[in-house]
Amino acid sequence: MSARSVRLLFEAALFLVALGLGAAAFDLVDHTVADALYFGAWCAAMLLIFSLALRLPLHLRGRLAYLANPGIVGAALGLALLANIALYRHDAHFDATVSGRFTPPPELETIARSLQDDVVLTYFYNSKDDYAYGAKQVLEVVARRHSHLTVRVLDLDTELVAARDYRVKLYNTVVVEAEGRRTQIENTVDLRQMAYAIERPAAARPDGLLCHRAWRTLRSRPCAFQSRGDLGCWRAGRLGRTGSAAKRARSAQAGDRDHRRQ
Amino acid sequence: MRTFGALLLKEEKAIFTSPIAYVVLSVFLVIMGYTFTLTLFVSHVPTLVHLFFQIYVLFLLTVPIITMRLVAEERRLRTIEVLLTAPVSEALVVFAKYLASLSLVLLMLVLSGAYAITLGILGRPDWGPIYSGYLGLFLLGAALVAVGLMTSSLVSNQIIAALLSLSLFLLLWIIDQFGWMLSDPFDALAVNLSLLVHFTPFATGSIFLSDVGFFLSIALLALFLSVRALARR
Repeated sequence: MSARSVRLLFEAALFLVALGLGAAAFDLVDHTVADALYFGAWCAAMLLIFSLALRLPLHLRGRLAYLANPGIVGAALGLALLANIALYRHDAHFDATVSGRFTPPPELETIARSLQDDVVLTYFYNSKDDYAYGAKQVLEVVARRHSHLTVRVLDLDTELVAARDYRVKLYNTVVVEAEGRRTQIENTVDLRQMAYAIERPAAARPDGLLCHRAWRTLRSRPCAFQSRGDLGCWRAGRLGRTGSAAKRARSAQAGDRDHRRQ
Repeated sequence: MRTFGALLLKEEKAIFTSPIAYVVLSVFLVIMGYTFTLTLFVSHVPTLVHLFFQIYVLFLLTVPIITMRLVAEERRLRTIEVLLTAPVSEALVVFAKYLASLSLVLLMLVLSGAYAITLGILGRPDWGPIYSGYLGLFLLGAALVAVGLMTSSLVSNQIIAALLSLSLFLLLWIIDQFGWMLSDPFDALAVNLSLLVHFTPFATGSIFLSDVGFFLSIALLALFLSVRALARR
């Protein structure tokens, strides 16, 4: 078999692999497996494009030959950029640590996934606090996976101007902002608490509000929340499949706290 | 395949008979040994995270030295004409040079594995971040070697090739610092071009497939541009 036919076979195989993995990823419910398959399809597609690009003539002749090389280089750069954006949108994350240091709690994952509008979370953490540092790392992982959640992590000791602007005085303060509403939690490294703080300003809307008893428990916590929004209310329409899961998680936690208080 | 094997052997010989390879290896191991010992005795924590960041910096500094002569030297000595008139494609020449340089980077990583083994004997490290760190370093090395080869293909002076690579690597190292000053969407673009932003998760045990894709796409893009630059007469 000649080298040319081997290369042709290799390209055909790459095309089939890319197509097969892409189709397999399309139907899967498990996001991580689907994104991993998507990554396999992406790799095969990139290798195929690379192989095809090497077939382009290296020495061009004609009137527009002087434009061809910059054009090819520009197209290659553009393609690489678009390929990375596409991959970023279907990113999969694997936590290689035994302790699961980078794995977010299910509440945070569910609420971040269910976000439909942009939410900005600013965490003024204490860099000397290991728990705060751990929370910062998990928040960054979650923010990378969910485009509607923007996380800004600031060291309170060094970001004094930002702290003054936000009127933050205590370490490990979380400020969540969404559509002009703001929620603040002071002195927390609890990612579940942060998850509920993310959901509250994102979900509190003037249309179709649903009150939930978990907020009573959360509001009773001293110095926990200061918000200008419609406290303790969620939009009914948002309690779909993911919303119900988050609601169940909240109810379980609230019940647990009530039980402990008794 | 036989032609490629011969080309690869020629490039491997050129790299491993040069004193540059041994100087780079020696400097790398001395600095790594110092960092490893210091970190272990000071922190008493069985982790290689500090070592991975040290290797990251050393790669940025040593890869330009490894790759600077690959094509630039052949251009200067005019042996490139002989190579390009031989019955081999430009792509094969580039791949042979790339794999030969990558093998030296791989050897550096394999030798640094001694620290991981030492850590395994002395303590009970979490092996997940160690594996992910090595994966990240290999991908980083693959991308850097491809970029270094590309710059070497562009110029005929080794020193300029090395300086060009070094400047590019340093720019890609710190570019995320400028990201915060830019407006949307250029800020995201600048941050996502940073090598450190994509390498840090690997070093700490958190693997994002988009980071793997980033390094792969840089390597493929640089190799493609190297082929086109090599064909330039």
